[in-house]
Amino acid sequence: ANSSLFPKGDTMVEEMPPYVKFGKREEFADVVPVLQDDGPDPVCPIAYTDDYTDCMNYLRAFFLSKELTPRALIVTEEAVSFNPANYTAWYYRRLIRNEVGGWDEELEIIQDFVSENAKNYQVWFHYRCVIEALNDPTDCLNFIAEMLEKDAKNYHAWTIRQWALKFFGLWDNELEYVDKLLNLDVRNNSAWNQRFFVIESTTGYTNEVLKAEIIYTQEKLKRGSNNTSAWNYLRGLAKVSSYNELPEIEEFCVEKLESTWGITCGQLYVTLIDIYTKSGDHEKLATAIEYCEKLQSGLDDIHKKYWIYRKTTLEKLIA
Amino acid sequence: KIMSETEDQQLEGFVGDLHRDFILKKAIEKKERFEYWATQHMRVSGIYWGMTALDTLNHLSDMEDLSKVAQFVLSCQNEDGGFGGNVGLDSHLLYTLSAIQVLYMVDGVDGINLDGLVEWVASLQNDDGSFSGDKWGETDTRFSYCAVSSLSLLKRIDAINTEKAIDFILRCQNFDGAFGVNPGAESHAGQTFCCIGTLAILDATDQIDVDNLGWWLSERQVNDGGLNGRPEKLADVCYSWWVLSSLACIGKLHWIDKQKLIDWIHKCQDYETGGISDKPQNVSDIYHTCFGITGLSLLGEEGFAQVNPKYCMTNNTLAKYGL
Repeated sequence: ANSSLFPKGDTMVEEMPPYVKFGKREEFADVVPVLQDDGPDPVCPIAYTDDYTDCMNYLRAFFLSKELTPRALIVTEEAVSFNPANYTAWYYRRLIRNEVGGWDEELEIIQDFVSENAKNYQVWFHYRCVIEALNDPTDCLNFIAEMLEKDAKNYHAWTIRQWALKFFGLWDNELEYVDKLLNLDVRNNSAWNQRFFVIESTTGYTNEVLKAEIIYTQEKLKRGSNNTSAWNYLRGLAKVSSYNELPEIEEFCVEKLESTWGITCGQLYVTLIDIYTKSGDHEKLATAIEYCEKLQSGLDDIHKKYWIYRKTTLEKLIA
Repeated sequence: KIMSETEDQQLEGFVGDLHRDFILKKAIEKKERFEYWATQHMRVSGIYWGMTALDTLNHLSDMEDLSKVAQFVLSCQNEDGGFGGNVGLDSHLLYTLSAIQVLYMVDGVDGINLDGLVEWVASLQNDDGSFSGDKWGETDTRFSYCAVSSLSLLKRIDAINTEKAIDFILRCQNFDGAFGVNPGAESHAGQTFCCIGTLAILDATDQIDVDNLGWWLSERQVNDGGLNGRPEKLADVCYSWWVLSSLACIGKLHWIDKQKLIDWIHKCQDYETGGISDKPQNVSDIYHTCFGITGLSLLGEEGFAQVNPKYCMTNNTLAKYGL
């Protein structure tokens, strides 16, 4: 890697020698830069810095000539250092690497970019392409875990992680990893979703698994009852199966009504409403209506409009 | 942000004129700033966000030289038929949709190489019905939306396999009723809009449990009135669009506490420089300005043009080409 200027906000952090315009670099003496054609009277013009303009002029030249060499690699690296979202520069790098090799080096480079630009689509996709080209997931899950350590809900990280798990079949330790994350933050919605993803992709939700997952979720709820993600997961288990097949869910909720959850936990009532709506039992439907009123009048009044609708629907069922 | 003498005054209401000025300045300003060349790869989308906001505010006519905008955007169409984010950049579905949307607003649709574009979009559909964003193959429900919306706007939806497109979307529905980037991925309001928008354009929203989805969507509203994108995350103005438009597409917009949301979006305005930011007190940008304004339109804010929830374009503009 030649230069690495990683923009951080409005300041440039120089880690290597300062940028030298390509026109002044000997190895690029034969290249004719291609200026951006904005037309005679450019509309929506952007004033680039001189350095970036220089870089883009040379990138265009190389790209148009389809040169796939190490020096072309240098130009693309400058380009993505200026703007990590320059997707054409990343494309071109992949074409060059396909020609000249060096995917190991590419892995080191892209890992740096991902670390610095964790919310950028292009760098994450490029990372995935590099792993695919190397066809070696050895450090992949660890690297993504490192990124998730900085931001445990990073959607790109999870997307690539799911891809890697499927592509390489790396399921063995994933549930354990999810558990570790939930111990750090029991409200991590991404981790709860990952739980569902792993089980669906491996054992599937057998009766045995369902029972175990209900216990697991209930344990996690005891750490904090107002946890939307955990309640969503619990209700999700009933969707895979049914509340009839899993009576312990209703038992658990009814039991918790007697505790402080009955006063503070809106999601408890949300779940009971779900259970009772699906039961078809008139008495339970009437109770569900009561619970809708409880939610709309205070326990979940930000969603008042929804609970009014829900109540009306239930009333029609009883009528 | 430094507040001037108005600091003690309670700031209320929608400051539309400030936003109009903010957007117009962004379009012509020639400042050397990191922000500009950090966004040059998606210039076409930037234009779409700015112009849609102006259009919704009924100030599109304040923008000068619309024909030059048309010229610029058309110059982003590549030989393969798709549009890049800027001149000389590779084709991608994201920028192709933005380009078409802008060309609608500036009466430039006739300049498109139509057959080329349609062929290119159709070539990106995979066997499972999903769409890749470009020739590199990454699939994402965002790209399904971009493909379907693009072709719908150009009245060439027949060029793709709509049945399979719908099938793929349905496979992306999760246990909580909402949708992610690919099958099995975490439900996310932005991805959900892309899926619901796709289904709505293809007249297929009856294929999902809308009550279930509607609850997940309305649950995005948090206590301070704003909307988040996933459970247990913070509210962000752009979700005002992604969540509201989804609710509108399934006829459940009334499940949101409208006034609380309106008040929250108003708080995200920059009363000094104009523009809207992702959260109160943050720096405003074109993207959040666009989605804050289109969100307010859906909420019935007075004086705004009506925005179509399927396309995130005003009905006035859509009517130009008979949609």
